Amino acid sequence: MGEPWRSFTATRKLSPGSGPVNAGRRRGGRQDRGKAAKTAAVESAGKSDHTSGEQASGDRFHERNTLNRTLSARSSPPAEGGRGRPSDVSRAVASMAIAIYLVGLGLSMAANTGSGSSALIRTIKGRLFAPWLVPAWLDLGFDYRLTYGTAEDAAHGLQVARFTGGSTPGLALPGDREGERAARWRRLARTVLADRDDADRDGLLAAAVGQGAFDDLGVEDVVVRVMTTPLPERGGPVPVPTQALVARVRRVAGDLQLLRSEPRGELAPVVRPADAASDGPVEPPR
Amino acid sequence: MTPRPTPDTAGRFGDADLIGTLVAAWDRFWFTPASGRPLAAVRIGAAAIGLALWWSYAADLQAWFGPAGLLPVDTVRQWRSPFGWSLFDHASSAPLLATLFAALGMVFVLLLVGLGTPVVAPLAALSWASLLHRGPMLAGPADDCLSIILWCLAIGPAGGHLSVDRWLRDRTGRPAPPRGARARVAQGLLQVHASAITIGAIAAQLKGDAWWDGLAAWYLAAAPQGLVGGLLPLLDESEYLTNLITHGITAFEVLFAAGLWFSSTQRLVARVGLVGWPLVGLFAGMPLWGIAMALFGLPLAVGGGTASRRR
Repeated sequence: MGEPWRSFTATRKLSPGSGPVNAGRRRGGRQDRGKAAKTAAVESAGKSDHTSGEQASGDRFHERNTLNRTLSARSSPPAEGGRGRPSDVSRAVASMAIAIYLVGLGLSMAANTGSGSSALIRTIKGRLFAPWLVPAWLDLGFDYRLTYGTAEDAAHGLQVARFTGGSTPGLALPGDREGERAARWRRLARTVLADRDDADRDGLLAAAVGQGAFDDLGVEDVVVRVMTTPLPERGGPVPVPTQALVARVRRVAGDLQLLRSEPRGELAPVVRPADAASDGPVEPPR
Repeated sequence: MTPRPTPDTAGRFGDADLIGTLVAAWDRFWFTPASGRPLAAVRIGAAAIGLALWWSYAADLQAWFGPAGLLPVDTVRQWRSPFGWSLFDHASSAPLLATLFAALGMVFVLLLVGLGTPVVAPLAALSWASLLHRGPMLAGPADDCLSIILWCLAIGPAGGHLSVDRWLRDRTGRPAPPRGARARVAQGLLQVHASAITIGAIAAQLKGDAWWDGLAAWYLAAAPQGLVGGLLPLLDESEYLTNLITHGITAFEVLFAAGLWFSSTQRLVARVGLVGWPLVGLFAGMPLWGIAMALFGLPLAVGGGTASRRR
């Protein structure tokens, strides 16, 4: 350390270089029929007041219409009138679309957890749902744990400097940024570190970050560090940032090279028995 | 003579009744015509959050996505899902990138004031997803939630109220937009996602010991990126207070996820969420995420739920 880090500021350049179908018109066929029948029934009842001979038939008519209304109410959901209610076909299509999406939502949540997912769910989601959920940024797991109070919740940062040192200060990210802007840099740093465990992505971002800093630092040989500041222990001392990943990125004869060195803290210690000779065989730890 | 119903026949009647009830409930939940006014309120909130999140990209845009930025297009293409796609991938020069980015900001402004909303809302959803795909490793919970809300706004008539669109409509003497099923579908999706996101968060949190031993609130306050570090001395003094806040967050989330589904509680729960989620977001160091979560419940809080429809 000891390099004169300076913040990577924003202004600095890195390089030169159906609707409701028939709304209000259809008004729900069954309910309209019910309403018409109700009107007819009232009219019929009114007539029956004046014409006693029609009393019996009026009652039968009233009963039939009451039944009609009952059936309508059972088969069609209650609504504030039929206005704005889509047609049966529209509802069927929309219901199908919603149901499919909800299945996709469930699978996305199951497949995007921090605990991993089964091959079956990954395959179904990947083949049937990812092609249209991913482009819309809807393939999400909502794995928002907030904190576990462990090393995983460390604050991450990036440092990029010339490999050979020199007077040009390095870049410290997020530096003095705050809020969501700083959070994005921290996510980038965390991802660079996490990619170590992903065979397909290993070193990809670290190399890109190093390469992106070539012009800014004026050299084609830089070192990229991911710094982590672990959460403090309750009542413990304030933790200091440590190097979690160190990678040298350089361009040699047009080829980009990534040379990674593991921090000492992550190397397995060699354990020797206390009474063993210094040049004796190394015994495995018990 | 009427034949007596056999057990099979009786069974079929029972199934049909159950299915009919479920279909009616589904129909009522998704398609009962609803007012677009709550959705308009969500639109304004989402556009404001969108502008804040958009702004968080602005200063470092060229450093990330510029022609010689830290995240070259080829690298990101290798890194992200093969289904990912971004309009920003084609911004081969700094001015073009800046122009595209400014256009996205303009889309959010139009969404905020509600001008051309039927076109602007889907455009905002597409553009926002496009920006996130340009650098997926930079995206956080608030970005995810905004994306979902924007798609819900694209489905529903979000510009029918509290908007320039409405003002223009009134000036030309056209009638106010009627209640419609599209508004209800959009509000229903917001409600479903409010619960789904909360359940996802609860499931993730409860995998960690800190949420069981009651110390999560202390860790949130002590995190270097935390926003409530000032509470740390208080939490240091009282473990019970730390436990109370930790379990309070969990209880709030559980009640929110479940309470949205009962007509008797949904409005109260959604209103509590309007305050509770921003507080949780503040505690977690993600205030915009907290506000976005509150937006999911906003339609229910202002009376767009099933309870109000029944009245």
